[in-house]
Amino acid sequence: MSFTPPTYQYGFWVKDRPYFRSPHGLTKKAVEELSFQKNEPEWMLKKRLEAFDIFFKKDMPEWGADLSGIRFQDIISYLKPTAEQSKRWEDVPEGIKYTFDRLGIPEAERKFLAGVSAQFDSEVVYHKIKKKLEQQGVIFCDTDSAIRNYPEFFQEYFGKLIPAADNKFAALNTAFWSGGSFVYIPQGIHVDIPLQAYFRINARNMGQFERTLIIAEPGSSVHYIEGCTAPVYSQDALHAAVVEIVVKKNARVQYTTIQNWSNDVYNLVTKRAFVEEEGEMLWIDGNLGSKVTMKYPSVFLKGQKARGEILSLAVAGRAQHQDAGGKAIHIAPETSSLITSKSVSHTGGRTSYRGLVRVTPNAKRARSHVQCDALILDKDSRSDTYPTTQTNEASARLSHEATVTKLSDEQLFYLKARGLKEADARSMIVNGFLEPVVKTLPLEYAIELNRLIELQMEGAVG
Amino acid sequence: MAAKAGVELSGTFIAKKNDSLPISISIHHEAPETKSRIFVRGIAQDRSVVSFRANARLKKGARKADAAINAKALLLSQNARCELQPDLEIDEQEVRATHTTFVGPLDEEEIFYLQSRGVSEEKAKELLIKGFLNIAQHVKQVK
Repeated sequence: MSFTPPTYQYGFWVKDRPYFRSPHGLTKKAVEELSFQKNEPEWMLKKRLEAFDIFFKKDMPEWGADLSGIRFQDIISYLKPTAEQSKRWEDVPEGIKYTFDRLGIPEAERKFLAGVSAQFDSEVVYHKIKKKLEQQGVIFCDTDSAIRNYPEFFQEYFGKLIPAADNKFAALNTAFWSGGSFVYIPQGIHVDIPLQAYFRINARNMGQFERTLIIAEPGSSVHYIEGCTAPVYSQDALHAAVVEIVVKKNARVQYTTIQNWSNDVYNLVTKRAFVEEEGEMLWIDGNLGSKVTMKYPSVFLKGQKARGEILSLAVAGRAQHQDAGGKAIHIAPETSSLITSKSVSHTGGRTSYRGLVRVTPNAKRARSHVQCDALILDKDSRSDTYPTTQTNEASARLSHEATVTKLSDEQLFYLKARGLKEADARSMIVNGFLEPVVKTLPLEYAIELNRLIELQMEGAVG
Repeated sequence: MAAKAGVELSGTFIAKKNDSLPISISIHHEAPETKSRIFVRGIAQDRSVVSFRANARLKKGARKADAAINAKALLLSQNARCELQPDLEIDEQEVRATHTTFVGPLDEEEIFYLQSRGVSEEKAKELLIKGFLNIAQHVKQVK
């Protein structure tokens, strides 16, 4: 790693200096030690400790998915290196290996995704991209080193969009955060290739409590991609990430996530973007994995003519509950938002769309449309829609539509009459149903996602 | 609801002055081939606060049930407030469930059209609001 910047202090990756294992569990001492190990500025430790207190004061959210299975004391004991270095390829469950096979994931990438190797072998590709980004003045690095190298951005924005007191899991994240990405795009710069967290040398973006901050200066644009479609094998029982995005005047940010955690993970994520005048924020949020997901990417439309769009895709199979959706808060005049949700539940899975559109007074002529479509594949599965619309502004127009349908026998019959097998016919219909979201993804993601859905459907034929 | 039972519920609300109007409708489908229609039109004026909640639950066993919620409101004053929350909870496969909501002002173009036909702005608004609240007419369209 000859191109590692000198400030890139991943000391705790070195074997002879083991990262602390937090014998203290969920304690103040653990927070202090984490901050000390990271060699952080004093104000960050203060923020962490404040958040730690808030975490204990906050109640568990009871309005959404069932979270009674979370045992916090057990979870914090996993606060050691996010990728288990000692894990061997042989220990990775067969199911995960099989999925890698079917998705056609390269060998090196598989080991990384399975947590066997901590480093994805993309140094050559990354090196070239990095050079180009540097020329443009773009900053793209992990949050841990960014906080030491660019403290001014963090003092201004860290925790400003999502304060620790926002919810219990935002507080937990603020106290124990580690990893995540920092992206800064200077004024007028358009980054023409999507930034992917796993281009980074030490791709520790998949931490348990990752923290991401993206700042797009006026007139700039960027597409950031988090995670990947392949299943991520993790030993952590809880993932509580926080993502904050600042979209300044005329800037555009697209944030794409396809979450596919293994089926024992609670995935409770807070994502929020502030959008200034004529700016545009686009969230593409796919949820396929995990045991329980609660995630509602939000746009706060603060400047005139700001625009927000949220595309949410959820697939829930056996013992899964995807409680996902989006929020749009209209604060300024002529702002517009569009939320599209597509969900599929099968084999006893449950999907819930939960969303909020709020128009505050003086958001003159704001417009919003919410469209939720749900598909239920069998009688054991469940689908819910919980949309809320609040308005205080007489000139705003807000509309909402939702439909819940089953897989149509006629469509199935037609495809079977054309010689398709039942399983193929079903996955073709499901892929067609999800098409409006899938087509917004970069090509390789769209392909992987389609394969993944086919794979899930194989198990769904009953 | 028993098998093949149906319910049709339509209503209007007019909230004015300092009215606080909480409306809550709950429909549970428990038997096969049941059908429900909720159809609501309302206006919020002055400093009124309207909160509309409708919950349609299609429980296990409600095969081929069919539920629809349709709620629209006009917000006619800058100081009025409106909240719409139409929930669907579906636990059965072979069903059809939809909801549609809208909240917003009167359509400027419709007002303009009536004005171009010699109707005063005041009168045009009145006609449009009356038409909006005229449920009987709308319900026919829904079927």
